[in-house]
Amino acid sequence: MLLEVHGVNKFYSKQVHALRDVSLSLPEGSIGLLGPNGAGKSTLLKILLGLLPPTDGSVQVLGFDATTRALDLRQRVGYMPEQECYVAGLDAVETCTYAGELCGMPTKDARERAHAVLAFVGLEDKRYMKVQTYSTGQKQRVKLAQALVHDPELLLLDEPTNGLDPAGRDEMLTLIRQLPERRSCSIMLSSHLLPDVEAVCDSAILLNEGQVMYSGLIAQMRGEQRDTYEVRVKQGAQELVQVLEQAGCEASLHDGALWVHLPPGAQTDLIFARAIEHEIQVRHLTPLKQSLESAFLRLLEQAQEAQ
Amino acid sequence: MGIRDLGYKRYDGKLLPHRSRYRVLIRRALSLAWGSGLMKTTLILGMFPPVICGVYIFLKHQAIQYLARSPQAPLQLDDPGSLVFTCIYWCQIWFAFVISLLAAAPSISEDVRTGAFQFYFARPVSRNHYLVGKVAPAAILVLISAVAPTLLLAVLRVGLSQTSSEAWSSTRWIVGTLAYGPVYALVLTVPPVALSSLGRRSGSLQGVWATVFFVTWLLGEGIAAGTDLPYTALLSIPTCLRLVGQLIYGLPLVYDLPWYLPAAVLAGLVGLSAFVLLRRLNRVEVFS
Repeated sequence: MLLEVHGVNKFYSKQVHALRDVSLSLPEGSIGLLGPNGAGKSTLLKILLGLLPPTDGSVQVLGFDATTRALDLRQRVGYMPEQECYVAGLDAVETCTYAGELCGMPTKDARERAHAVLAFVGLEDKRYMKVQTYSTGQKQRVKLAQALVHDPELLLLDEPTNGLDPAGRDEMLTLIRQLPERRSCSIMLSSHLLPDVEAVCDSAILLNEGQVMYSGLIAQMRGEQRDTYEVRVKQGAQELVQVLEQAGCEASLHDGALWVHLPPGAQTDLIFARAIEHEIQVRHLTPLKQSLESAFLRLLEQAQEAQ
Repeated sequence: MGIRDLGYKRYDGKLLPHRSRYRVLIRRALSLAWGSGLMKTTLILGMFPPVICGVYIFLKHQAIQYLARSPQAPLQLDDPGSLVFTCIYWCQIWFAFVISLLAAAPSISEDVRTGAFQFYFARPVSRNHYLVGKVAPAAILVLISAVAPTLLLAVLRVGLSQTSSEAWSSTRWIVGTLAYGPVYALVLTVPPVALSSLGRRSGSLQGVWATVFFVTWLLGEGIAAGTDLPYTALLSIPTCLRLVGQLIYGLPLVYDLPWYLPAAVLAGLVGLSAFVLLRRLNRVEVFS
């Protein structure tokens, strides 16, 4: 298992309860860490890196106890921070070499890997420039390179597309998406940009107010909404909405398609029957799949309703 | 952004133990410091006063030998070894101060400004590694610029001895320098490093350190020299350093004060600075 978190609570003070009884068990792969601001994402990342002890509970990452073997753990984890992060006066090669040395690599090995990893992120032409002179996109690449130089088994990425233009964002996501296969490492991507997570990750952890709302496969989270269908017709969509509502369905129009939620016990025959009655030609009927964003919002709404 | 995977191979080399981090941090900080032209200039210029002092010790020693052989009544001259303390305190303190200003006062504030805390602490680097990695390089540079040349001067004094008893009595300059050097280096590095942990504007923090150093020196020593209040000398960091140096080298104290007071002031200063430093580092938020 990549992560084994059991009953973790974190109090910053009596009033501030950052994590509430968090339990997770996730295998290797690409994991998205989602949640609104203040949900506890940063606290969870700190705890996973062994930088912050949980108030109670146990945390194992890559088989290491994050509380008692934090240094061993951090030797095997790479971290790409959200904010600007460099050592003043160093160029990209020295930055990556230094990063490797701090992870325990001998200088010669660290220097060789620094050149390779800078080529990997496409910075080989500018590797001898001081990092502080780089553009935002180049700084993001250096941050990724320094996180990868020691060949981590787990890479933690905090808002990796922050500040990038659309083209740069696509390129960064392409690079990240290929990491598990090309470099055999797992990824945990913390982001508030759901499309980024959707593009890169297989699994997701959804946090809200310190609690895990969901952890598992994104496909399952997005899932098929039972009894809800997307229907496309040749003509008369508005009429069919009215007809289906009279039949007890919940129906609405979204970009020319009908989203129809059937009443309990009803089958799709109901939609076809009403359409035939009113001579409306159905061209497409499929169970409705949510986007990650709508699944995310639905889970948050459910949590708020439960409170 | 092209993806250029030049034949990726998993790293299967050895990983060094965590204690190697001390060496890595110190070596990198020294290499960065050596990259500064101002630092190089300071270190090179700092070699001149000990050379001049060395020539003076040699000539004075020759003069003493000559006068001793003179048929007339011998003229008494002071032991030139006292120049060892004059060199480390009055000459080298300026270079040591510039080094503390360049290497110690901005050491942590620069990391706060550039977000380097995340660079360090997201890796297997503990707060102790980091702390030693900030204080030790500055202390090493102070030792190189001020203490090492003075030690050579003391060795020269011993080397010039004509008799074994003279050589034996002159070893106090070597022993004194070996004892005084660490005190000197700690006083000139721990307080400015602690100061650098209090903000992110390196220039301002360097200004504060310079002000603390010189204003207390002028005030403390000025009032003590101009009035009958020797205790005010304890306000001054350099004066306390001078008194402790005189104590270690076995020279008469310039102010009539109990011997332990300046030592206690310096110990308090270094202790308080270390406390502030540890407290600030324990509160570091690696992720903002």
